[in-house]
Amino acid sequence: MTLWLVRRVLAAIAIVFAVVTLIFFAIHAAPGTPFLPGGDRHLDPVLVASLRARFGLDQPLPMQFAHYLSALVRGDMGESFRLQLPVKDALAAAIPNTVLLAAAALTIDFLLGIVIGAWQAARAREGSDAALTAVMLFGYSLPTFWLGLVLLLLLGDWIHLFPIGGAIDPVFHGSMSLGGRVLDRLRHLALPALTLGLVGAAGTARFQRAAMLNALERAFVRTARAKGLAEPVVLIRHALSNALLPTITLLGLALPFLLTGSVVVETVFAWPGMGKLAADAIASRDYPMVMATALVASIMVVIGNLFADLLYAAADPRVRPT
Amino acid sequence: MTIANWVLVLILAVLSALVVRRLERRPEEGWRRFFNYPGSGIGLGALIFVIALAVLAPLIAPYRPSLQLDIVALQNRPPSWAHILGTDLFARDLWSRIVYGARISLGVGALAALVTVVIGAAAGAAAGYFGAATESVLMRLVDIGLAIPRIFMVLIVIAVGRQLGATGLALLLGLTGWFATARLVRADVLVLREESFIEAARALGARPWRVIARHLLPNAAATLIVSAALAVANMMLLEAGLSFLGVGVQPPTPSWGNMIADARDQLTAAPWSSIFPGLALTVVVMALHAVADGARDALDPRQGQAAG
Amino acid sequence: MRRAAVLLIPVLLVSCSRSPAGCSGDFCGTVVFAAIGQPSTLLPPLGEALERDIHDQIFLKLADIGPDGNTIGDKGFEPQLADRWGWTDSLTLAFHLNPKARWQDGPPVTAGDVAFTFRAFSDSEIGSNYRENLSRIASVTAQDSATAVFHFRTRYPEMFYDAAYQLRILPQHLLDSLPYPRWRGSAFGRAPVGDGPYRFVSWTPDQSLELAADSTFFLGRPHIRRLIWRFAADPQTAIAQVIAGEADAIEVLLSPPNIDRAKKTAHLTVYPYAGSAYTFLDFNLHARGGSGPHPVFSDVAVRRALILATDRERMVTNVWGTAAKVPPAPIPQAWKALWFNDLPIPAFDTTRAKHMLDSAGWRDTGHTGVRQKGSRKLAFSIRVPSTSAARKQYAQLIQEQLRRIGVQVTIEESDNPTFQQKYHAGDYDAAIQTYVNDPTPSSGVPQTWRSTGDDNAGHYSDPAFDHQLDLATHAPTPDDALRAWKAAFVIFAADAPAMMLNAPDNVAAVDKRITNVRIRPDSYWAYLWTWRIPADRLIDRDRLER
Repeated sequence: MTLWLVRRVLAAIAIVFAVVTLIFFAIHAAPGTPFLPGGDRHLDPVLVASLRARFGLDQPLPMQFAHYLSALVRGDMGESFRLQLPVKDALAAAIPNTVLLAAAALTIDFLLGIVIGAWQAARAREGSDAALTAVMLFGYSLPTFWLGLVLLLLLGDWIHLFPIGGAIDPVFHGSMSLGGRVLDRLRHLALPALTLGLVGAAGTARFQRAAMLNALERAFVRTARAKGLAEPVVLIRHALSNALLPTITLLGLALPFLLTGSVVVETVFAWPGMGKLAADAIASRDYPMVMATALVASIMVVIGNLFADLLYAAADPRVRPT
Repeated sequence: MTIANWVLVLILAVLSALVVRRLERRPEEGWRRFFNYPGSGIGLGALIFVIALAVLAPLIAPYRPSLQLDIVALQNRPPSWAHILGTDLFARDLWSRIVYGARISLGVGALAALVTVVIGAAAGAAAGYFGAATESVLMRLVDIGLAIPRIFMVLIVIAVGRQLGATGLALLLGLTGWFATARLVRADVLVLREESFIEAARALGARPWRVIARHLLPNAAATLIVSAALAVANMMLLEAGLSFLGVGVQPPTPSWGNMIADARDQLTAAPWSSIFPGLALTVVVMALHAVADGARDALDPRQGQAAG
Repeated sequence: MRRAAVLLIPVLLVSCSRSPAGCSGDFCGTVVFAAIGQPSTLLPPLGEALERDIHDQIFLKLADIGPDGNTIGDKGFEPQLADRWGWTDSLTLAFHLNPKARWQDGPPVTAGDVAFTFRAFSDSEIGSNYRENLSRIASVTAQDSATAVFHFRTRYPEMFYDAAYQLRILPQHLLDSLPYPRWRGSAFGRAPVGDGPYRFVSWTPDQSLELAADSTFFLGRPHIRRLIWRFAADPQTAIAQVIAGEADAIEVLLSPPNIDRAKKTAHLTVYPYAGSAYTFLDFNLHARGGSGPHPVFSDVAVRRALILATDRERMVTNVWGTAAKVPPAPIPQAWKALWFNDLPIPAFDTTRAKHMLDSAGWRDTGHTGVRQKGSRKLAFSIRVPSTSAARKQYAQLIQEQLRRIGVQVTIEESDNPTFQQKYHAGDYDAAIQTYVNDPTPSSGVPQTWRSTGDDNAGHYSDPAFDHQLDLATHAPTPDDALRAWKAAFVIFAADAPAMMLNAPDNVAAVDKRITNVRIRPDSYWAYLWTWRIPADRLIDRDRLER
């Protein structure tokens, strides 16, 4: 087991290295150049040359890569061209927001998904099950960004139930009590988290329903029923608790997706997280920031995978990591 | 996009032939299982309907999809008898664009999925069958592929060049999307490799690729067909997402993705120009999922009720 | 689902549980701006559009342009740091600083600061956008601590404008020790100390930025106490925030549907003002990426035919409704005096366009629907940046209209860094470009259209046009300048180096409770420190005490 873990961690490092290498050469190969003025006028060529020299962009690409790696090893991720800030500071501001959004979305995803899936399985083959199956399938098939736009229009713009964009109220947040601040965060979190969570919940419910149906056919459930236990007890204590394990393994798989796949949602809701940082960095050819977001995102993916494997092994004793 | 269209029709023909062949072995039971799951019949129907729309687009669409009618008087008109789904920002008939957009969206989805499944099957089978170094190299490649976050896909599209065209975009999506399929197929092959009929074929001196093609892959057909259906759905969604980020299929060619993206700023002024392509996309993705569920039930009795 | 509903209840309650106590009177008020994009620094010589809106609240100029936008002589200019000025001789201008002017950390603003600022703005290592505009000023010296003297190289009508308009005076005592290459990304640029009506408070990148009124501001205490900019990457999100009342002001509404919505929103007032941008389809007269003549656009007859074949009046209505006009020359709405209505601009006429193409040798000989000359098809691409909805819209409109006369257009959409790089490198056939202009044509027009202009990517070159530009920018009187501009634009229309598409008027939306709102076309929020919110209209966010 320890040996397995060590091998997996080494492999994970190798994977992250490979991803970083790929992205480094891709971003430098992409047309377009950093240091553009905000408007459409061109920037003084003398200045551009001096900026390029300052950030080492005038050197051959392999040299730049070597510099990047050696700086990275020393913990230096450079300065963002776009924000004119150390990359580290920008990441430090964005990562908590992304983690918060991912946590909220996962909570909605799994709470709602498990409850609906289990409820469906308990009423399998009834009309309400079929109807919910169709609804869940619909939810699962929605393009996330489109759902985001529609929710923003309905709940933000028309009914104005939730604030439109941003992570906190820029006027009041600073002077709120602790409870007020938490509520303020929740209000801003609602729309992006709902968008991501609802689509996820639809998938989780489909999975949970199947897992629960499997559990219901297993011997111990039949035994419990035969013993004359009340149906809710059978459903919740025996079937659900067993069907939860496979669903939880989904968590590890959903995690990296939420941490990196919410670019469009973060853009629509002006949520200052990693995805938006990455998208803005790509759009302005902010090389140091692109590299940093790629690095963090790929680390999150491999950790998520590792986590999923561990959960899977814990959930199913037949699967032993080799 | 004509090539992709033909490819689409071709793949679907091959796929259905495969399904039918699988089902022939126990025809009644298979079809019963497929239609047992209530959604799959409806899904299949919806899919056939949309494919028919796509193929017959020139006969069905009242206008050429990029034709701009009166750009002042007919801009952003709501649905009416003359334009059943309304018109868009450019005074183009939305229904005609959806019908032609089906060609592009389904074509891109199908072509990308085909590439995904072919490469994924080959890589997964090779890794599972040969083991050793082949497996290590291929599976590490898969690990790397799966660790590249989706957003950097945009970067890759930009780096490869913006003038990809729909076919180029589909190929690129396929080439960067086969990793998960490879993993699934490898798992199947690992199990099958130990079966007696494979041992027998090997003992008779059959060449490795022949064993893979004739014996392994047909038995992994359940995984392949289900992955293919899901891959079409995913690729269609991905194309839409890329359009939204500004790197999808280029105008004036309509795809459902770029229609949604183009209508983004018109969401309050002309909601129909966003809602109809969004619904079309959702319905087709839904249908593909329903068909995948049914196919899974029909083809893989081991999974039984796993209509989820 | 029930669980989710229970969660929502406290969330909804919080919005109605705030107390009404707090600031009252004439100097309360919080204005929240919905901003599209995000500034990179607040150090003026490095600033662009959005940066300028913000740092102009913190840093003053010597004098500022008046509401009439005049740039010739000093007519209409209003005192800022300088309370008076005078000409020592025809090439020497002295500004006398207001003795009450202070930096927000205490010391007085001196002529030394002005000289220091001029050196920084005109230095190549800083690379300010304004460097070009300062090229005719030889030096700035401090005659004494309160008198800054500008020495010019030549005499021209806009000497005063050049000296006053671009320089935001910087504190020498805080920046002297910082070498020029380190100005970019400097801590000062993230937390500046200025001499204007507002002080810097805080800035969270990609989220918001806050300024607070300087109650001791020497030109009068600003009425609005707090200014907050909220940054949204997406224009529609920013506009939705203003419509929902989460933000109080936005300087552009961008499209007719947005303008309609803002007009129908009870708590908003819309303020139209002259726009300073124009958009055009630029023909590259050189072969794409090379130096030979362009196979299609080097022929003036073809360029004129293409312009004739597009219904630019209807296109402008499609994109802008009534908010924009087709300019007869490269001029924005703000240059009212240059808006000559009798320039020889031919009307939309596809029949004539077809004849012209026929006689230029481009005919549909292969009956493919696309004209050709020999084996060369009449086909070209239009580059547009994917970030501009209006320009993408124009590209598709032009594509369809030209298809009707047998011209095949492909659209090359690319993200902005790619677009700008390719455009300035001449790697395009045609491109849709927008320029935002200074209050005067004398800098932007030569920069974009003169044969030697830095931004003349399409290689338009006509000595007669250049000559008229030189006359216009050096004219001794406004009337002489106007005559020369008109002559230049007549030549421009005949040469047809570009298809002028639109010059929009802008519409800002500002919350109704804010009064005394005046918007100056070249700098939307220039009069912000005179805006006010009457005591009886204050809302929670205005009263909030920190």
